[in-house]
Order: sequence, then C-alpha cells, then structure tokens
Amino acid sequence: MLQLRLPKNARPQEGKTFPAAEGAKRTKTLRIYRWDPDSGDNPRVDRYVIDLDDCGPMLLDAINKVKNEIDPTVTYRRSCREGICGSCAMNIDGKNALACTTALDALDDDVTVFPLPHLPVVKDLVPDMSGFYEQYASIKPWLRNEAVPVEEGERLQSHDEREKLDGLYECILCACCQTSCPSYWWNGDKYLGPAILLQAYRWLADSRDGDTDARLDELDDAYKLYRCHTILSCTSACPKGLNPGLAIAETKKMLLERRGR
Amino acid sequence: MSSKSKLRPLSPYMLGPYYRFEFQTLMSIAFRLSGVFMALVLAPLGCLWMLMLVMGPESFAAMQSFMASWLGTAIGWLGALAVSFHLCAGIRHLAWDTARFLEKPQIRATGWLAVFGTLVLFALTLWVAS
Amino acid sequence: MSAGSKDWFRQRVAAVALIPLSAWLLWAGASLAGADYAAATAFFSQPLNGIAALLLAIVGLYHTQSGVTSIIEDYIPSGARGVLIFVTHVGCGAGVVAVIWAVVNVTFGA
Ligand code: SF4
Repeated sequence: MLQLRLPKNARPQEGKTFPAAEGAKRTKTLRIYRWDPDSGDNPRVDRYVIDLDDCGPMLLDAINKVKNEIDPTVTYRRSCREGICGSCAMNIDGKNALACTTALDALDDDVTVFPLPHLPVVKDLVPDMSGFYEQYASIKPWLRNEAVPVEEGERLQSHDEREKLDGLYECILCACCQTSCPSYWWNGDKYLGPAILLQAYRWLADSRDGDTDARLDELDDAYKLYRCHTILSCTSACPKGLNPGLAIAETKKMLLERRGR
Repeated sequence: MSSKSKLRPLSPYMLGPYYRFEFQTLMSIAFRLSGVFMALVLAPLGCLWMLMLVMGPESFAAMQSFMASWLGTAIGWLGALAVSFHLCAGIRHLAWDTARFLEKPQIRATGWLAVFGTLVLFALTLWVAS
Repeated sequence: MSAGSKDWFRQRVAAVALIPLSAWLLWAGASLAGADYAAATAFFSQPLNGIAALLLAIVGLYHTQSGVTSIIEDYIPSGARGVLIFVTHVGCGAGVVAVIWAVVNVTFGA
C-alpha cells in the first residue's frame, strides 16, 4: 500500500548533540537515528561529533568509536567489519550500504546514519528482519534434487555451469537491495523483493538443482515476483556489486520461455 | 506479531528526505506518471474527440475550439511529451525484459538515450503540427 | 499458467504492438491539430488511418487497463482495490466501443 508519510509515532525529532573531544582538529558529525523501545518517545536524531585523527578509516569505525567512547547506548548490528557478514547494512546519507565498507573520506562532513528503510525498528539502527528471513525460508533455498541419484558421492558441474552462479553466490543477504526497493516498501508482505528473488534465481541457475519447474511455479505470481517493475534501485544499492535486477529479469525470461514450450 | 512489535516505529524511507533520488528512480517515476497521464487524460480525451467527429461538424468545431484553448493546447503538448517518453522508456523496458542492457553503465546509457529520443520525437511532433 | 506471467506477457505483447501505433498517434495528433471538419473526415476516410485508430484503441486501451490495474495493485489496499480495477475495466471497455463505433461511421461510412 502506498504510504507517503511516516506514521505519527515514527517521525524523527531532533535529539542531543555530543561535541568532539577537546583539541580535535578534523571532525565529522554523525547524525544517528535513535529509538528506545523502553521510553515510548518518538525516534530522534542524535549528533555525535568525532575526531577523525583518532578514528579508523571506515564509517563502522566511527560508529564503534561513538559507542566505545561517547555513548554506549547506541545500538547497531556488526560482526565481521569486512563486508562479508552483512550485519552493518544501514541507510547512509540516503542510500543503503554497509557501514564497514563505506570510507569516511567519501562522505560529507555531516553523515546521516539511519536504519534500513521501511522496516519496524527494534532499537536504534537495528530493524526487525524476521519478515525478510521468513521470505528467504519460503523459497526453500537449498538443493532440491530427489530424482537424480548422486554420482560418486558428489554432483559434478562443468566450468560453464559453475560460472552461471557467479554474481549470485556472493550475496550476503544484507538486505540493502531489498529495502531500497519502493515496490518492496509498498508490498513487502507479499512481494519477495530483490534479495530473495536473486536467491531464488541462484537455485534456478544451478545445474545441480532438479526442481526448476516447481520453483518457477512458486514464483509465477502477480505479487511474489511481478511486483518488480524494474526500477533498479536494487542494482544501484548492492554493496557487493551484484545485480538483483538482472537476476529478476532472467527469472522472468525463464518463465516466458517456459510459456513458449 | 506481539503487541510490542506494533509499537515499533517504521524506519524512514521516503524518496527525497530519507532516500536519495537517483537517475533510475526518476526515470521509473516519470515512466509511471506519463502512463497515468495518458490513461486519465489523453485516452478519454482521444475517445471523446473521435465521438465528437462522428457527431458532425458543429460538435467537432466545439471540440477543436476546446483543443485550441490554453487548456487544450497544454494537454496536447503534455500528451505529445508523455507519449514520446512512454514510447522511448517503454522500449528500454522491453529490452530489459529480455535480460539485456542491465549492467550499471548500460542502465545509465540507455536512460539518457531514452531522454534524448523523447526530445527528438517531441520536437518532430511539434514540427509536424506547425 | 498463473495470472502472474500471463498478464505480464500480454502487457508486453501489447507494448510491442504499440511501438508503431504510438508513433502513428504522434503523427496523427500533430497533423490533426487545428484541423477543420472536412480535413479531419478526409484524414479518417483513408482506411489505413481508420484501421490504425481502431488498433490503437484496442491495443492501447488493453495496455492501459493492464498498466492501471498494476498500479492499483501496487498502491491501493484490498478494500477499494477491486472496485477501482472494475472501474478501470469498464472505462477502457467503453473507450474501445466508442472508437470502434466512430471509425465504423467515419471511415467505413456505415
Ligand atoms: S544482492 Fe547485494 S544488496 Fe542484496 S542482499 Fe545480496 S549482497 Fe545484499
């Protein structure tokens, strides 16, 4: 459903400002979205001025610095700090990205750090991803091949067959693409969204999988797949340089070719 | 969902204040707007125009004098622009539907090509009209 | 199979047909701007123009119906959705009937 304004309880207010440590010469201001589930107040945007000369190079370093040195209540997800776990996905200056692979140098002096868009917020920068994971489970993202017996203990692929998975298997399920998609904002309960559809295509493209027809049947739905209108925000947002828009187009093409048969 | 999750605020998302307007998003919005304009204004007006023509010289003259008014002229110009754009951007979408031209640089290039094609078609239409 | 790929495919088929037809529309619209009754009837007395108008109305309004339905499905929650989609179908259908009737009269002089 189209919703052009945030619900009343979701509108962010101006929050507090935490100045930089004394003697700081080069600074940047992080404007961080805060929401405390225990207070019942509206979300607010707190400003933390950090000393760049005493900080690592990435945005995640800066947020860690805020938590360690300025305000320990700031809450966010992070783990690997090298772009492989997908935990620190957030809306950075109006575009989804991973905080750990975003260099502070590339950002303006005022950096806006918000949670991934259009999700219920659990606390601060931590959105509720359970719907996303449920949708992932719904496509049964594992090798489905009962019919063909395994030869010599493994299912072999040619180089070409293996190459078809490049650009797909690297997905870290960070949901940057998913939550950048306006169609997912309006119909995220029924539309699977770019990340899940890329994952679905990852199994359609796998020569070892034996359930292609059933997978296509499951996707052939006005909402699950065809809410994609090729806006391509997803492809623009992916921090791993993958192309969910292309994966979705390939899926639609497979459905088209199947009609022809 | 528990009652707690109902109280959870929705994270900000709107294009403009919270999410960056990017070229591909603008093209998509323009594509949809041009379609809506044709559906709500141009198509009904076109059908009416044909009906007025059948009804005879007098009703047709009334129709054409409306088309010559400032409102009619504006609709005509906007209509030509909407058809031109929807045609060019639509061809781009049809190409995408064959899973081609979807690499990031191609998305940009075909986008500007569609904008350029729109301007050419629009100019041609105005030239024929004059 | 399911409504998903079927509707999607039909909308694209209509879109392909609309490439030449909308080019014709631009040309016809430009040629008929400011035309008087005699010029307009002369234009449509040519069978090719009549047929183009006919095809444009049928294919174009099919495409319109399918596009508008898709937009309604995107934005409108289930309550009003069905009503609006019904109105869209009726509107597009009425448009097709009107243009067929007009072309039959003007071009084929029934
Ligand atoms: S496709 Fe890219 S943006 Fe989307 S979930 Fe996978 S890694 Fe993240």
